Amino acid sequence: MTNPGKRPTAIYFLSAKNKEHLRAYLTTHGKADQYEDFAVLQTSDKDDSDSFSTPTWCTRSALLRSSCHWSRPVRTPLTGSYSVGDHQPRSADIPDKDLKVDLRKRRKTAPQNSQALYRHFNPDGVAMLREPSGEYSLNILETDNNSNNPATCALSLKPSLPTTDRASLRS
Amino acid sequence: MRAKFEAFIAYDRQGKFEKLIDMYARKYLLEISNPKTSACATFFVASTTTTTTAGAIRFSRSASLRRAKQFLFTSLTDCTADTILTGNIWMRGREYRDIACTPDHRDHLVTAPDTDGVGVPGWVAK
Repeated sequence: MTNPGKRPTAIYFLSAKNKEHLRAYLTTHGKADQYEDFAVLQTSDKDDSDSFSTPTWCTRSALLRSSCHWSRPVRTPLTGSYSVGDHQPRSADIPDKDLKVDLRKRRKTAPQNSQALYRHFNPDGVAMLREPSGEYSLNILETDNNSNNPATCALSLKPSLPTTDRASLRS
Repeated sequence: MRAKFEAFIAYDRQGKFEKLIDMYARKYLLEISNPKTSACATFFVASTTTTTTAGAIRFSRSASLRRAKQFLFTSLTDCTADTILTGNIWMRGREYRDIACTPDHRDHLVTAPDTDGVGVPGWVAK
């Protein structure tokens, strides 16, 4: 599967059935104790239109978690003040997002030749901050998907409201 | 990740950030008279890991691109409402030299200038 940036993309789903297969496999190979590392993972099913893949959950929750801090008004002499943010910019809103780039091949033995490749600019989040001088700065946030940890992702999705507050909201 | 870095550098070199800033100025009615001079662009990577190894790997991939102030790194666990705009948690070349992976990498971090022609928001420079 490819995305508009032509980068290879893999989207992984871990269904409840997959989990059971994993548990059975580990049990039959004498590694049942390792299952607890996977037990905390959220399950998702690609055939369920209301479901998202595990990496999507990780990315979105990490982005939301960091964006919440950016979104709080911060008004100090050093940092300026938060102005506006676009936490998940629509790709259609990004001007000139498809770029043709001349890149050198990284070879140690052969001469380095330039190669024209296409790169896709599509940031995860954007925040415009008003500096103390009154000028605006463009701040771009990108989450590192390679370091996502599905186990901690589940923790970050916990509701932030205390249980008592949630109960009062429901009543 | 390197492909993402290359996209951001190309976007900067080809002067596309001005269009992006102009788009946001119009979208949110911001008073930005000249996007080229009055606004800066910086790229941050947030991560869910706090291990120094992962941080060093991420940084080493960007170090060769010589954009020490364009790419700043931090861990998601360090981000709070009090710290995210202080500049204290964002790592660039000089901060990463102690955990650099190879001697060549370490030398590059010590000798390379922090700024590569990229404007940096004032709160980062503090």
